[in-house]
Amino acid sequence: MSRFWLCVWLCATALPAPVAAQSRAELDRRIARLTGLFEHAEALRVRADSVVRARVAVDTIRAGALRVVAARSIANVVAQGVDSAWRSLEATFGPSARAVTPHAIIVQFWGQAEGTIPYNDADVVNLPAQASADLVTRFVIQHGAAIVRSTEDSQLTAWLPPQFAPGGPARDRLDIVYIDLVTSPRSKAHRCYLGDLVACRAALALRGREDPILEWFDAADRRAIVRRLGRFAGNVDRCQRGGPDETCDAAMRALPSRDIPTPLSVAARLSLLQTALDAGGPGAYDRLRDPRSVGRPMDERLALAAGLGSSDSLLSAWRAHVLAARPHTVEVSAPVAWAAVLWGAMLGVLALRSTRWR
Amino acid sequence: MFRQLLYTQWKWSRLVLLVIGLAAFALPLLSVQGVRPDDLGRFDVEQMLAGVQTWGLLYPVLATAAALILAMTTWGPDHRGKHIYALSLPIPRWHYALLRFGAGCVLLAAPVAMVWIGALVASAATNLPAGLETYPTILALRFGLAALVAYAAFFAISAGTNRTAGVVLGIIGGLVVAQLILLIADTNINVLSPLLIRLFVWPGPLEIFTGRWMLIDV
Repeated sequence: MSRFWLCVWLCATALPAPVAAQSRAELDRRIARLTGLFEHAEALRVRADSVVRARVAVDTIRAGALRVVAARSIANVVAQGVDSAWRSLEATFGPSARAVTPHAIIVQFWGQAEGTIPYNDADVVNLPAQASADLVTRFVIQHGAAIVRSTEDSQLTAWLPPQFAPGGPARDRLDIVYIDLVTSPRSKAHRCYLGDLVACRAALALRGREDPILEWFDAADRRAIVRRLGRFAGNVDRCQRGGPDETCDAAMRALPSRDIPTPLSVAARLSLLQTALDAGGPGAYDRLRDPRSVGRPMDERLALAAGLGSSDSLLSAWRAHVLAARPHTVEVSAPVAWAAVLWGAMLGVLALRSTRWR
Repeated sequence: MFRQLLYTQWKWSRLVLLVIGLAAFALPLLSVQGVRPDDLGRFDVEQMLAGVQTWGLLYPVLATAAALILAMTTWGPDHRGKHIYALSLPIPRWHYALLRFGAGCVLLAAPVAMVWIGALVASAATNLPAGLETYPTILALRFGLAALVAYAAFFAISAGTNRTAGVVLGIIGGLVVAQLILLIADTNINVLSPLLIRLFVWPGPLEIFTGRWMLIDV
């Protein structure tokens, strides 16, 4: 019992101290002191970084409006990639590609001779050691395209975030979109695969953004989505226990809009944008971001950019491209098969040459 | 003479072949048990494919096991009988080994055929949503080629002396131990990875074992 009272006494004497330390004035003083220390450290870091940068020999490579800075040891490879990157950006975005003019894109290779150059700038492209000129091209395109796309209207960026840029490393990866289309458990995606273009509009989030819960999903989808939310009380629990669709609908409406998934991935939307720009040729991107088209449904804007009469034509073309890109995931190529036979034969010959009983 | 050798090898290995054949037939059927035809088009396809892929890991294992057992049973009686039977035959050693190798390859066709039949039955019994396909023939072909390479490797080791087998196993064990010591010593030296890359990446002998062993895929 004496130990119990000792504990009570210790708690009673120790408790007021931290409580007193939480006074508002003391807290403000601490925050101010820490902020001052952080700013001082930040200033020192910036100064140290600038000293390091001044020591490193860098080259500035220009191609069109594109300005790329790279350490001298890798400048040769980077220069090879930058030229084709600019040509690709200009072909994709037309005159709008000049939005990259104020930006200097810094390209660094991991383990480059000069070491990592510290830059505060967001326009830094970090690539693996001994990256090829082709890789430089793809990532500079990606970065440049993201810069161009960051100037788009909110309707366009809400549909496809600016960091997803046409022409970059994701180009020519329609096989991924095919897998997405086939394996998506959402009914709209499945119907889109079967050829329902209205479902494609919903699956690609082109329409129905005003009420995605009803427009993009059916009752089974809503229940499946809520089932994966984890254990919560209220409508989530009722929906998970097999309650009516209204409970699933209400549970999904309680989610922040950013947490509502789209039936198809962002890669599918990016591929549609790429299809529209490719179909539209020079000037397609300018037509897409024409202020007069802002506010029209996304599928119409994309069709306008593609220079096609209706969005059905664009969606049909996109779907045909995706279906044509079906990956051959399970196959034995002729070289692999022959190699196996050859290795089998070689190992067999080894057995024939064995010295046993000789 | 080939028929006699084939017959004796069949007698030595028929029980083991029966077990392997049953496993080879059952594996494709087991791999599609997660596919629910009554819920066609509404189930989670990704989850189903993940299940098929997990079962798929057993195909190369089964091919290796079949090859190993067959190679051992091919040479086992010869080793036990001190090769007296082989020496009494009026043929050179290479000819005898070739006949044994050929007979083993013929017997290896049985589990391959069972995989193919099992895969065909599993494919026929499964209703798939649009977009997914079955690959029974390619799967059986891949299984057969993997079994052939593994059989040839194990046959070559078994055909040699105990010393040869010891040297091969010693080299493999030595490399693993060396890699472990290097790991414990916290060095960045990797002796196994380059070797594994040469073995498993084109044109390595074990390349056929890699890739997707899927009866159902996109």
